[in-house]
Amino acid sequence: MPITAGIDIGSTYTKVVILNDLKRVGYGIVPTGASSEQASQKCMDKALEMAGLSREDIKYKVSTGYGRRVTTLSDETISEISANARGSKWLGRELGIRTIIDIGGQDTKVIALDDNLDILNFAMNDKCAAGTGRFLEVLAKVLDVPLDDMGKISLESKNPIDITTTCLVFAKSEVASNIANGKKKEDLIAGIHRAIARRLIVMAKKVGIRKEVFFDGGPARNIGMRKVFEDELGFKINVPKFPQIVTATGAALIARDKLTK
Amino acid sequence: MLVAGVDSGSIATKTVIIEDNKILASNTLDTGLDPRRVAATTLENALKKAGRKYEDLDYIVATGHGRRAIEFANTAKPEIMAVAKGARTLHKSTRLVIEIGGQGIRVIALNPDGTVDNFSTNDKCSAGTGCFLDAMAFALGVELKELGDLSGTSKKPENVSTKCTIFAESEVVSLVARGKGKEDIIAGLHESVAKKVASMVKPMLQKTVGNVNTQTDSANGSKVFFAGGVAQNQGVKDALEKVLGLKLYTPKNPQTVTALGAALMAPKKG
Repeated sequence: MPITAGIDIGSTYTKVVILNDLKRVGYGIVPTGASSEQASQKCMDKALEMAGLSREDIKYKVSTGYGRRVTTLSDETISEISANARGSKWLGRELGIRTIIDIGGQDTKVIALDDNLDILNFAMNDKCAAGTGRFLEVLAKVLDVPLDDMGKISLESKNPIDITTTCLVFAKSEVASNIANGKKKEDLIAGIHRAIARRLIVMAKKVGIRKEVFFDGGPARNIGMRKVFEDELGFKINVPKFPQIVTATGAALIARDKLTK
Repeated sequence: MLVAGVDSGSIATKTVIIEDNKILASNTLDTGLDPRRVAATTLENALKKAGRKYEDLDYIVATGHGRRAIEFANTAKPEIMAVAKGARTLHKSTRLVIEIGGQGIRVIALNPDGTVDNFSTNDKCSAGTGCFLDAMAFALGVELKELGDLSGTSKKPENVSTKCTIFAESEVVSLVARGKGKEDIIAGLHESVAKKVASMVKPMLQKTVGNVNTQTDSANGSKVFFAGGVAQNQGVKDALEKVLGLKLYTPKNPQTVTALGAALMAPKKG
């Protein structure tokens, strides 16, 4: 079986997944920074190291994401929607997925699948920071809480405080003034998560929400984010083990499809 | 009759003192996190400048985002009404008011008699507001007040493709990293502000201003009044005039038009 790689160059993080015989044998995650080329090279090296492979072993590479054209590593590029849907369908093949919610660093996507798991429709926001990973990242800084602790802290909240503004710039002021007024951090964080979930659900309703729902992207690692989605939707959702590398996994699968066709 | 108009904006608080409809003094401060206290301070400062005492005031009218927090005011008026009143009083031929503040963009269409016909605001998004320019100035390492002068020296404005303040910050940083001139980036940002505002203005233009003869059009003859803190930025004004294809009238103190309008809305004595 050919060994393939998927390279997902996002606005914030670059992810590489190496696939061998339908197993993920290595992956890497590095900040994208100013150079997509450098980030993808570094990320590939990390994934190769984990897999115990060298560059020559990879037979085909597909890149995706915001910086997919700005790397010399890839043999082919594919849109994030296609790559994410491919990865989600494969990772959730036993779940019966019909809706995918993917939150990235600077964008959000909702993909609706039909009963044959083909893409029926999708909605994407990459024009506005509200509801994206950036929203969480910036407000974590305003709260002076490490991004990775946001989920855990939010679970302590008994009275989430609604964030009434949409724009992240306004939400920064709103959160700062709430802190100045002595509001609890856990309540503010829970409110921030809820604001993101509500925004995503409005978007999801446009394409139609059907069970099962699959939630991926970096913010899906946040347990508080997952909980508010479930609270707002009224049912359980599915989060894969490594939500940040679903799109890269999909790109690696698409690379494999090309070789095995 | 001595009246104060206090405009508690999201970013700046402005007080104007008028006597028998003539401006005596004004004061502007950053709103910060305590709008009530800052409003009281601008009132004290303006009174001091006018050489008057608090007890001399017949009436205080509050307006703006934080108007309800100003409990020393006799009444509170919506900022749409206040800015319309201020603009119309300063410039009789005004039919359309464009006001760009710290967090708000307001476009107000007036009837021939000066009453408000229609308006639109940016409630959800900070693109094009004072906040947007403030964030860009910070990202570029220049003072907010310098933006207008700097963009004036640009020969080739850079295209800034993202509208979102947060994403534009990253774009500006990467443009600087790629060696683009600050003046060209700023000129591009001003164009971005102008486009956003123009998209709100255009639907109201035909009914209020009609067709403008660009040959004979002049700022003093203009029916379009440009107010708010951002109207102090010549670069934004130039870009907006270019996109709209008409001249804008800007008063000497565009930032205090709303506070003035509020003061003018005080009920007449007796």
